[in-house]
Amino acid sequence: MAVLGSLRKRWVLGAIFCTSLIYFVYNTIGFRVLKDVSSKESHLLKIARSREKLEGVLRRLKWQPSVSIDENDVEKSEQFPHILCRNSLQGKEIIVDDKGFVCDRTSLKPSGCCDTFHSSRYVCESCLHNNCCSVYEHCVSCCLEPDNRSLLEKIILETSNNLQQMILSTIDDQFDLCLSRCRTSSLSVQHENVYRDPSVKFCFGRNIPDLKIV
Amino acid sequence: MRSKVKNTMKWLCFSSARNCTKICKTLLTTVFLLNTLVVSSQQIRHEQVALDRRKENFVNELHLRNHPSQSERNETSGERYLVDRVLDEYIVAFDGYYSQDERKQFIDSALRLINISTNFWGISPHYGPVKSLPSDFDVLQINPLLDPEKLLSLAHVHIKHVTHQRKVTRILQAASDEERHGTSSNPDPDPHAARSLLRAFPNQGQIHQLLQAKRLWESGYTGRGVKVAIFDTGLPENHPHFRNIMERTDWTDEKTAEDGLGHGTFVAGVIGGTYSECLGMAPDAQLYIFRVFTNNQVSYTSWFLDAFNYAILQKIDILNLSIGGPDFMDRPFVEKVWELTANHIIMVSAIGNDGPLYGTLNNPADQMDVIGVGGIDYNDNIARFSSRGMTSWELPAGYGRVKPDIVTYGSSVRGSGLRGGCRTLSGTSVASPVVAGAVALLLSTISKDKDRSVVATPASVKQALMDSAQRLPTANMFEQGQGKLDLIRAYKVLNSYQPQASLIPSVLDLTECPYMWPYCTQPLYHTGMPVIVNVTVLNGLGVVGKIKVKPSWHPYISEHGDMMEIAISYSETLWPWSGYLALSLSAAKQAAGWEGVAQGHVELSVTSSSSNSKDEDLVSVLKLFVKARIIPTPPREKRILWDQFHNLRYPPGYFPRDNLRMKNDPLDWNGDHIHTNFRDLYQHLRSAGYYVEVLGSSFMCFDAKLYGSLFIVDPEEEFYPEEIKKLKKDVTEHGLNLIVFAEWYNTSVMAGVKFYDENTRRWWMPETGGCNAPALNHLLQEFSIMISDRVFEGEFKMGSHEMHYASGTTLARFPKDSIVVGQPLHDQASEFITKQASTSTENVPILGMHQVPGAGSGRVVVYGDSNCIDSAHMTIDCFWLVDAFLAFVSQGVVAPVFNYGQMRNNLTKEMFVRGENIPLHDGRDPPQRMENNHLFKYSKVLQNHLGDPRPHEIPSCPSISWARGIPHNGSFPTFLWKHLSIDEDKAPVLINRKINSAENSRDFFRQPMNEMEEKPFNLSAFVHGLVLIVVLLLLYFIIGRMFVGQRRRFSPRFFVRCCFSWWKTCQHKLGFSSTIWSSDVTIQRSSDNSFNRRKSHHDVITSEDVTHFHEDSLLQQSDVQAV
Repeated sequence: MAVLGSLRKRWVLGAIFCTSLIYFVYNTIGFRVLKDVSSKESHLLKIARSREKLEGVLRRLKWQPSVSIDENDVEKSEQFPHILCRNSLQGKEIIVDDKGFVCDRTSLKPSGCCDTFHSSRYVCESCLHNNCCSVYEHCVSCCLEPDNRSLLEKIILETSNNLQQMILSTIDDQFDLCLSRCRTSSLSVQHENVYRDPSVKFCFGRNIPDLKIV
Repeated sequence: MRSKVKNTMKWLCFSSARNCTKICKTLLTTVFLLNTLVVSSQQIRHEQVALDRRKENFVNELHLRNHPSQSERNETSGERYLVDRVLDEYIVAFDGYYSQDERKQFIDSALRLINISTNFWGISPHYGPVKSLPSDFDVLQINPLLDPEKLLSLAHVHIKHVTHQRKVTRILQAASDEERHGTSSNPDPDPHAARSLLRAFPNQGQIHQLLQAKRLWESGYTGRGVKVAIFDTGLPENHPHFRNIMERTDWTDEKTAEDGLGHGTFVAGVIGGTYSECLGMAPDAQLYIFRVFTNNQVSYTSWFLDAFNYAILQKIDILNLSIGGPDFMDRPFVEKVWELTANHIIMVSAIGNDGPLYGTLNNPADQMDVIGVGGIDYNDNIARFSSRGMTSWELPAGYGRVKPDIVTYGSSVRGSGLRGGCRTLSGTSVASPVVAGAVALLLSTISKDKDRSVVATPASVKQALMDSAQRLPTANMFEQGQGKLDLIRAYKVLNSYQPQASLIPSVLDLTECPYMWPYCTQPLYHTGMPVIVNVTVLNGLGVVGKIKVKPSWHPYISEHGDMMEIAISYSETLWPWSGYLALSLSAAKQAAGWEGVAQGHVELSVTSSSSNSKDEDLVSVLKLFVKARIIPTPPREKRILWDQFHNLRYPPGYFPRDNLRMKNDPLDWNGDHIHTNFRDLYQHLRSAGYYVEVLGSSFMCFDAKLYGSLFIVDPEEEFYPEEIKKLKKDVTEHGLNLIVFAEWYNTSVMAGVKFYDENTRRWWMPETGGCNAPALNHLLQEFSIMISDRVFEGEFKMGSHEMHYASGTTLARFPKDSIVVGQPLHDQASEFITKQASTSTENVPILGMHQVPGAGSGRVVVYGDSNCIDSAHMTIDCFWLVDAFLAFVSQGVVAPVFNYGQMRNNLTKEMFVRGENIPLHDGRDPPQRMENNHLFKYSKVLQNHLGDPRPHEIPSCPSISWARGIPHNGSFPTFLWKHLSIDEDKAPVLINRKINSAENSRDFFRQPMNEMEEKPFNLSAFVHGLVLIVVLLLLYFIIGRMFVGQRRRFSPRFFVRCCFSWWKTCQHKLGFSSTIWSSDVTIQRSSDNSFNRRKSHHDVITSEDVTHFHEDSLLQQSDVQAV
């Protein structure tokens, strides 16, 4: 009875009404407003976080040793023949390994490395001034050149696209980065089914291939 | 105001005391009602499932009634099935009902043909009251030593087909595993005692049961550690059927990875679902969900490119793509697929749902490095929807490759529903994940000590699947590829695999029907156009392989090998994992009058540099057996030449449909080859005794004296001036006959069929009409024939034949002394342009038959529409008309149908003239080439030139250099179509690693769960409910207040009634408006002129279809029982 008695009181009823009203208002209008505010904040946060993330990526990334190659390196690789390399796997005729050597498939050693006697390093042979190349392996090799580090770092920090950031976060070293950057992508095509430039389509730099009118 | 409030409160004060219990009651009732509503809706769903199940049980009980010894056990058992092949037993089906003795006689004679003596076989007698009645089947038991494949090709006039005897066992949940697989591992001494069911299949079969995936699961292989990427419409978050979703990424512009269509969920379920009602093939595979297809079924190449790049980065093992389209010239896409497989990703893709028309293969499933999957139903028939026919990349000069690669169940397959539960879908996009899941399972069987990336490459897996597939007896290779997926055999092959190269097809027995269609339908003869077979070389040695030495031809001396000539072309570098070997076959000069079968083989070696040892190259030597029938050269009038050279199709250019009514299929993309969309015409001509050859090069490259008639059907290409000159000479001097099927051409209509292409994001303007009328007129003007730019349509009767004229042209000019037939038709062009349907008809000339003047000169026939011989959009065929044309051109016989006397009613005097020159129609100008036309981009004849495009210099004819035969003392192997040289016995035996598999499997797979239990306690819903109650309370009081002082008492009952009626009106309104929306949507869709070329391949099977299916299987079974 005491409960019922208190229920009878005007202020109790008023309170119930008010709380439900507030809840109702919050649910219908307020929630959205708050959400907008929070999403704006979270957007800013996201940018900050993505910047952080990208810097994290940069910190984690293993770069090519900046010392230019000399005989020591070659000797070293001769001394440690068991060093394993990753390479670009896919090539029809030529292959590039993670040290930046480009060689014929026939000069590929069982370790996955290019035979240094039959290959050259950091080949930019088919690449143009816009860092676009006509041969994929050349693009990767050219991109691996230590001088390109600052360019690549800039490009990484400029990435704003979520997907691109996610992709970057799975990359560990410059070789993976270059393999990934040189592949033809959504930026390489016009009208979806035609290359922007059918002959020079592999780019690692900031530019996309020059548009050739079809 | 204040008093009012006070009053309310007052009322509340005393009423609450009195009514409190009532209010509580009402509230409780409401809540209870709401609850029951929710529960009942779920119950309905459950009941539906239960009903389905009961239905299923009912059907099966019917099936079982014939076997009383089994039925008892099955009635009490659970709902599981096992379908197993009974070893060494075959069902021989006859074309009618025969007595026991007759049947035995048929089988006896058929087996004698393949040299199997009576000691090696027996027929199991029919039991029960049916034994004395005639029957249409027999169960044949054979000696286990015999080659089982031989029996499947048993041929006899009265034998319809031979299939494996199958046994369907319903399994007790608690039954031990040995019982389940007992018969398959050790043959039962008396198979009939254990026999439970024949030819019956679980009508809602779980795919893993049909493929015996359980045998692998129970050996501990469940796809663990295999990364499978699913490129589809996404997947809902936290879907209850999956436990190994590694990642869900969205590559579309919709910013969600959720599945809005259910396609992606279904596909993922078939691969890795863990819900026991619809288990996936590899429940432990790691699934990577790539959303590349929006809810509006849009996808772009650029999305794919980025998503594919990410898949390479993630080192995905298997990629399932249940999506495809006809654009195989999308270079960025095609090259990206090459890149994927070159990076050791096994691509499995659906071949398309555009069957049963030929020439409907979809990219990327039609690529050599991809496993293209077609669909079959549970009776091992090729599913109607499954795309088929050769690839059209190689046309016109070459011949297409064999695709699909493999077929598997794709009709009424169960998989995961969008919101839990299971659903049934059909389509090759269902078949593709079945194979992808099977491959995931297979990859997990590769032992740890072997490097998976070396043993399981895109090539080796494809080889293993191809090699182990079971060939279906009734389908040809352009429908079934290498046959039906056999998971267990694929396991054996893959686990005993040694790197090697192989060929598809592996044997060229061109006499074998129906498998080797169309090669088996027309023998070789001297002077015939070479028959081209495009063989795919799969190279399991490495990504790159070389054919360093030209393959050699070894004719068998004792088998008339020298009667056959072979020219070989091949890809010198095989990349990625594959290449081609094309053989052009022809009968040698000495075989001009000879009849027989010639045999020999082609030998080639594939070399790859080894990844392990540096100096030694890996070499694989392959032998391709060739066997072909040769006949004496048929007479000239029986030989037809089909002009393929002057056909252009999509891709790359926009060549519009030949029937303007077919708005949903705007492109002419089936290749226009006699073995693709003109296949029915080809079959007809062959059965009428004509020999059809294909001209893949210009008119300069055939000898007119050899052929009775040249067919020019629906040509889109221009003609070289030299060709025109030569053709005129051929007709007037060499007596060549010309049969032309033209098509519509009208520049205004062409402008009207332009559309915005969603896929390339640009406007598409057609390059020609249905055919290229200006070019055709250029060719025909030598004979004073011209077609107009008018477009007509309609139905009419010719003699006793119903005809449908679907967007055809009319004759604008036809020479003297010829027969011209006119018909009353609608002007479709004006209808199309003004968008107003007209009922008025006009008599227009559509058919002309002309004898070119001069002794020994040929005849020309022109008909204005090709739709009645093109299977693509055919409504009524007019093959009789082709027969009549051929009779006219070869013998000068004019069929009575074309006779003036009979046609008089339909024609005015001017329309049907013998001996009058038809003037130019209405003084209209002849059809003109469209301005700013880009035909030169796609043409082999035109080249871009300032002003008007000009013809190129005519290309020289392909010179065929016949391979010099190296005689060989061999003979064709008796039966050999296995690709790989593998000792399957070396394969590890499947050992059940778990002691109590029944227990384990229960633990392993989630049991069907009550969906209500599955849902976690939802706080927000609870709060919402509370608020709702408070609001209701308030409303109650406020309304009650309004009734104070009025006569009618306000009771809770009245309140509830008010609420209810209000709810009802609301509901009514809502329902009404939603129907309006849905109809709006349909209208929008049908008027949508844009065209989605990359489609997901599924047909939704409606419940009606499913019931039909039930009925079908019922009928079938009752057939068996009736006899």
